[in-house]
Amino acid sequence: MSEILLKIENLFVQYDTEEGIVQAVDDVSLEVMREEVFGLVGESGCGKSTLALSIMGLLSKPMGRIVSGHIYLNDTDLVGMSQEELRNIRGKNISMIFQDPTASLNPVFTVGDQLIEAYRAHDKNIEMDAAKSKATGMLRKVGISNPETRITQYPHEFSGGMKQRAMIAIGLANNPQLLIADEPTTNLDVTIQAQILELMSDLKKEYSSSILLITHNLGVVAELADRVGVMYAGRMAEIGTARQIFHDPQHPYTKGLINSLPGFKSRSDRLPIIPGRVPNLVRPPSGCRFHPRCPYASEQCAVEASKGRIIDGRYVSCHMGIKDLEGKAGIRYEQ
Amino acid sequence: MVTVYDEAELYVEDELAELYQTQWGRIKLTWKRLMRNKAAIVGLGIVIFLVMICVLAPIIAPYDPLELNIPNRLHPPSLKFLLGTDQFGRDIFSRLLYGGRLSLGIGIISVILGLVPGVLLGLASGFFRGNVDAIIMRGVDIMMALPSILLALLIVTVLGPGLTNTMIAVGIGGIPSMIRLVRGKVLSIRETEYIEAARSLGAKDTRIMLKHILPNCIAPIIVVATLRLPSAIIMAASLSFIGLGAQAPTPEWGAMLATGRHFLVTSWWICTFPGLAIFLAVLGLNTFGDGLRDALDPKLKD
Amino acid sequence: MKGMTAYIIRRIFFFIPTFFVVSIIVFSVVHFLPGDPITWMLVDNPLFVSPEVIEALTKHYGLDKPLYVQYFTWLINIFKGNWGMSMKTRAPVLLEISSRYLNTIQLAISAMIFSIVVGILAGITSAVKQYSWFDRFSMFGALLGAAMPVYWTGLLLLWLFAVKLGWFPVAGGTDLRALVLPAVALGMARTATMARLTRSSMLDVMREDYIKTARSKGLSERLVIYKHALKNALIPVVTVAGMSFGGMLGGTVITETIFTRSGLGRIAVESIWTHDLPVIQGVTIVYVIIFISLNLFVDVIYAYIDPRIRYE
Repeated sequence: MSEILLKIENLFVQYDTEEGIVQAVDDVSLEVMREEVFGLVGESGCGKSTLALSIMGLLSKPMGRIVSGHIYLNDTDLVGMSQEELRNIRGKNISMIFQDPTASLNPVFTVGDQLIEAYRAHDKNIEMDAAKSKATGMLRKVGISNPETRITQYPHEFSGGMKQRAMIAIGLANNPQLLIADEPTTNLDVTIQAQILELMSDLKKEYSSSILLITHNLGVVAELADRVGVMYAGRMAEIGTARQIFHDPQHPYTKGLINSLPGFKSRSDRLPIIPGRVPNLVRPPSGCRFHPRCPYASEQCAVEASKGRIIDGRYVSCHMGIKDLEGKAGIRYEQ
Repeated sequence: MVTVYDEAELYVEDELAELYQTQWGRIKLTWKRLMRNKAAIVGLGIVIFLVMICVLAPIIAPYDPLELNIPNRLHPPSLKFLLGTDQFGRDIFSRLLYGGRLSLGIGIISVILGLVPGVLLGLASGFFRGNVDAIIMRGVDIMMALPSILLALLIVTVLGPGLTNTMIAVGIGGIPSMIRLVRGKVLSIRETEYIEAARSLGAKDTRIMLKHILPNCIAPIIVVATLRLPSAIIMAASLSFIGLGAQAPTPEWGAMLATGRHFLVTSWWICTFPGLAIFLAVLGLNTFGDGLRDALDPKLKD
Repeated sequence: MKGMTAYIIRRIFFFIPTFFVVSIIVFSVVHFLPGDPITWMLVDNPLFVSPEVIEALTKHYGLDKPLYVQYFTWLINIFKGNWGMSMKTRAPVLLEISSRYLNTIQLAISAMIFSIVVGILAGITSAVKQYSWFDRFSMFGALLGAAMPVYWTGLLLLWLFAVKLGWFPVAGGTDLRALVLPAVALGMARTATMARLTRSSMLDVMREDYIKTARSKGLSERLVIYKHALKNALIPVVTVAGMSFGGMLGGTVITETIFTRSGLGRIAVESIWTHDLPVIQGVTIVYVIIFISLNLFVDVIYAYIDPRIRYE
């Protein structure tokens, strides 16, 4: 059994909108290992959620579609699978939890009902009582007290943090190999955030799952992630271990992000910012999509984006970044 | 103003300025969206066409709508009588044109009659809340406890049959839903921060109501009024149909349907054309109203 | 069901004062009439109007007593079942009403059922098969149907199916066959509204996050649509269905006239024409009772579908 659980290879995902075609995911590749937490970071609209939905096959048709590329789960390509086959995988091998737990739970069914549903979806013969006790146990495991009562309650009777715990329970119900968490803590209070993150970390160990953690919050990433991928405007800018990303960022965008964190290496009174705005993805900049805002941009950047290269286990898609890394690794820079 | 308030004022002024800018910009945007909706344009066209020919009735109508002409009774549509004649020999086409002024006119006037008190009470209810709100909403609930036709019938019983009373009856029927709508909108706008900001600057209640809340309500009010027009027209015609609205020999469309009903089998044209006219007017208004509502609603629809 | 009984009791308590206020309004109609009630009632028989007759009838109807006494006497009589006599037929009002109200309820409910069933089914299918020919066809039909006033639909159906084709009776009748055309005519416009509303509601709901969650659990598409989406989509539909009950009841007035059905609607109209005050009052009260009961019923269904309501 290889170490790689999920392998995304050259994925292109498009949205057909009124204003034109949006290249939401543009030639993105990444790997998630077993039992690792992979943090996928980027601003809103950079394509990370689209990427996640593509893995699950949940892009909203008819607007969104995977144009080309591969998504390998344990060596099986998910792209091109029928909905029937995908349904077998969803909720069993891969699960997803979403940003807004209030909106993600159906308000007219009890929480217990929705959790039991997750069990019955993949085990048609399970008995109601067995499912109920499994559900109660699961709720207890995610830290909800009085699960016997809670099971009969409706989502609006739960607090925000509890709702997210319930979502995690649903996500982990069938012991998936990969849990995709899309902004799991963004809508929660800071104190609850910490609890949820701790919960996720504990459960990950217990279930031996991998987590694909999607967020724009670098603090969350620093807390949980083993490896990190940074996305910008639909492209992957950089991939490395959490330590490498935070302490030795190579892509100018990553550098900008890290530098703008208060307390991180900033010595002046004003927080440094990355000038400019995220580009419109219907008419993205030519060449490297970041070049209009990049302090190191050269003429080459405006014309041709870097294809990206893996050096010493790190991935960077920046001409300059590659040069630096190769310099450090003692390799001569080649075009 | 003292420096302390400067920033707050800037914040509010900015938001308000943006709002008013977008107010005009919003109207333009709505217009653009509306124009994209072909069905709505067709609907509007139908309505405008009907209104125009009815307004021009004195010029277009070939005959006097009230003139009895017994020798010519019950003629099917022909070149002489475009849409035929009724049992008294009156030209249906002319009656249709003049009747349109009544039917459409009643619709418009009743909606306006219901609009003014409805909006005012809704504003008061939503803005002042407390006892005022409680009383008004109770009144609304009670009015809604009666089916609207029954309410109209009761009013007509008291006032007596006739055109003006029909307008009043139909108009009053529209008040409760208008109050509810406006109140709902006011309540949701109230909670927005910029109202709080305006308040903290000491803006007077009436000023807030009129300048800030009302403009935001106008859009749904217009939509509801437009969509209520067809119901008003139908209700007025219904009242005439059962004989409690327009009285013979007034050529109101509903009344024409009533008289034509007895000749359905033999002379179908007497009630078909008024019915068709009502149908077209309602269809046009419905499509236009729907288009208007979709254009004003920023949510992306299919 | 959690919270249901409490909710129902609360709704009943809400309707009771409403009923009383409405009864006051119905009662006071008498005193809004031009002139005095007796003269008004006898408008068709001016010969009878002499001071002695007026005095006698005033005493008989208790109109010389103070208002509040009149009201409470009237109210108590209502509860005792003494609803007075019809001026026209001299039969007890209660009799006139009891022989007819079932017909009207039957008509209104059939029309509601027709519009709900057909409308919702059409709406769901249109939403699920968005942009298909079924969708376009039914939405266009709904557009037309919504514009057709009851009397026109009624007359059309009458002409086509009763007169020309003879499949249904032209007038009268209390059996099932006689119910079909009036129910369809009455319900047609509502069916159109239901279909359009169901469709747009379903489309809105399908965009919600919890549908994504349902799909991410690996549920079959059927479960996603008919369990998760439908229940939520029906919420606004039930609201509108409930609110349109009033229109449905009101529409019985016209429909009964067109199809010459025996019912409350026709007698309401006739009594207004003949100034038959006791009947007018009686019919109004019955309409209000029916209306309130139906509203209560709709509220309960609404609370069943959407649990959040039970706690309001």
